[in-house]
Amino acid sequence: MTHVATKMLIGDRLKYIGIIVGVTFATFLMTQQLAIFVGLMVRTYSLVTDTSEPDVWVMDEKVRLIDNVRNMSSRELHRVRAVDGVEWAVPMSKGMAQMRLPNGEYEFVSIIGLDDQTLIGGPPKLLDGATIEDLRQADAMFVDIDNAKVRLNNLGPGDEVEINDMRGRVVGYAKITQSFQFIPTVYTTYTRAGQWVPGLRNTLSFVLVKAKPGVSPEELAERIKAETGLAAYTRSGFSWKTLVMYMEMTGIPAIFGTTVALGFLVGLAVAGQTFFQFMQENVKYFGMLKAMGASNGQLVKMILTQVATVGLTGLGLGVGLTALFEPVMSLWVPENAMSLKLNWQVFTAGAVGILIILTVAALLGINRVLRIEPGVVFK
Amino acid sequence: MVAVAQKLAVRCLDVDKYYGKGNARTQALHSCDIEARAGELLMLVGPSGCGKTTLLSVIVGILDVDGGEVEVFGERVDKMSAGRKTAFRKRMVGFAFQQFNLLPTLTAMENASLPLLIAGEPRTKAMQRAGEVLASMGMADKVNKYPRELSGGQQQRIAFSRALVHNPRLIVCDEPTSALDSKTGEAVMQQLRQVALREDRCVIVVTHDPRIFHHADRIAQMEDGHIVSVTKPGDAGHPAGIKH
Repeated sequence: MTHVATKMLIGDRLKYIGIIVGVTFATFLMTQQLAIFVGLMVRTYSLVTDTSEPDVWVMDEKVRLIDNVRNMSSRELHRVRAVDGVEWAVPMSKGMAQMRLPNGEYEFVSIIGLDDQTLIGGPPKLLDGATIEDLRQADAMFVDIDNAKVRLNNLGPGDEVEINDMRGRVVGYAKITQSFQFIPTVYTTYTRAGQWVPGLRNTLSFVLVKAKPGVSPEELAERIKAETGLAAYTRSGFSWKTLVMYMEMTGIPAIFGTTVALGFLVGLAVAGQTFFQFMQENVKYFGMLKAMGASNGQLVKMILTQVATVGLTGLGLGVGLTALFEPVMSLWVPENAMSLKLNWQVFTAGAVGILIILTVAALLGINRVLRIEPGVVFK
Repeated sequence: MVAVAQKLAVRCLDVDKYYGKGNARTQALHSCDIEARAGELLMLVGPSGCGKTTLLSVIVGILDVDGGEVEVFGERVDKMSAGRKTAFRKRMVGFAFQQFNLLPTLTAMENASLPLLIAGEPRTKAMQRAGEVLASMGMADKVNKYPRELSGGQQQRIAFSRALVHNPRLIVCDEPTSALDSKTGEAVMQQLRQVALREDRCVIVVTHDPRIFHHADRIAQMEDGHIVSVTKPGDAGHPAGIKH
């Protein structure tokens, strides 16, 4: 009877397309908005994501999120190094500066200063054969390629800039996770960063720490906190703290949450109403099947087959459209401005939304069918 | 064909049926007594609203009776639970509905195979059997057509095929010729008698179409929920003998 159920559904082309469009649209709206939301939120802790070497981030206890840095004395580095369980600890500075481009224009950039000796904390990927050691050259810096092309007038290797009247020279492109604030990012050495941004001189924004083998990052973070009085977080802990602060401080969750809810409600209305109408129009056929001896169980199974067919098709198309959204939009919108992250969690959330919608539609249909009097065929 | 088997197929004894409640309660069947035998084609005739379809519905267990007994091939339908009635219809009854009630999105063969699919037969086997029955109805070349591509007569043949495919003991037809012209109606009724009637099977046709009365072995006339007469061809007052 599943074949009969499928043919009943698909045979009515217009109605079938209507239901599919409704479910697809609802899926697309929910997953696309969720994907954009997740993509944006992931950017809030992009520097933590890109800095994979350390296990623990140490900072002033007043720091609330990664973009709101309060610099510490450089002495704190030695205190952290003295904590038992620390394999290594290196400084990282982070600040903002105004950069004068070769064409005379100015742009604010975020400057990341890496430990002079180890250069730990560099970008996750360098392009065109550049290596982290290139930062040891005079006035050297890496610039993130996406912003370089869009915001920094195609700034590239070999170009010279001015930062607070100091010379800087681009020695390579870095491919990084874009930040939430869409600010171009520049990597250089800790000392050079202190020269370019006076506020960073002899101060630290963060101490990046590696745990000794056998010491858990969580345990080490607690130990550092206890012994130094500084704030110390694991990578995931600092990411989560930053994420939560952005969500609390901005209206982003409310805005995206509203759109996702709207998508859900639209899907519920369209799919639910269309499916119910489909059931109404087929009432006499379900009644006929009942008269011919089809059990309630068989009829319910038919409805569930129809719901599953619609659900899987609409879900697949909706998620597919979401996946295509970024590549299509990137034809017009700069790549670094797109922030879609279609991970399994977003897919699952979309699927759960559709499941709820179709469960409601199925229950409406099942309720209708179970109440059908087989005698309706004789009317 | 003249029915020779005397075995009782359907027995209704003192059957009452009411609709509605309280002040709106109406009696659709009044102490109806009727018998139908295996091997015969019995027609229930009467004006619209006289209770023909209601009587048919209680015989096959679609409606519950409010009084009396209903027995079909030895099984007391009035005493069955809802689930047993469903199973009973699946096994014992073939339906040909008014306006055919063919699923428009299924082919002729798929429509005809429905009772077997409902009974749990594998699809391939059900389709094969449906094809055989359709062929016996002269529809072998139409098995893959959709109802909208077929004439009224052809659709009725599909409906009859569906009613026969699972080898039921009781075939019930509700106004089988109402949507057909005289010539087509005559042809399908001939085919129905030819294919459907067997010594172990009973056919009950509900109709108010006088053009087909002559196909009946017996005619039960109903009026206002009562069986007023049951006659054979040649009997005085037999509807087939009355010019309409």
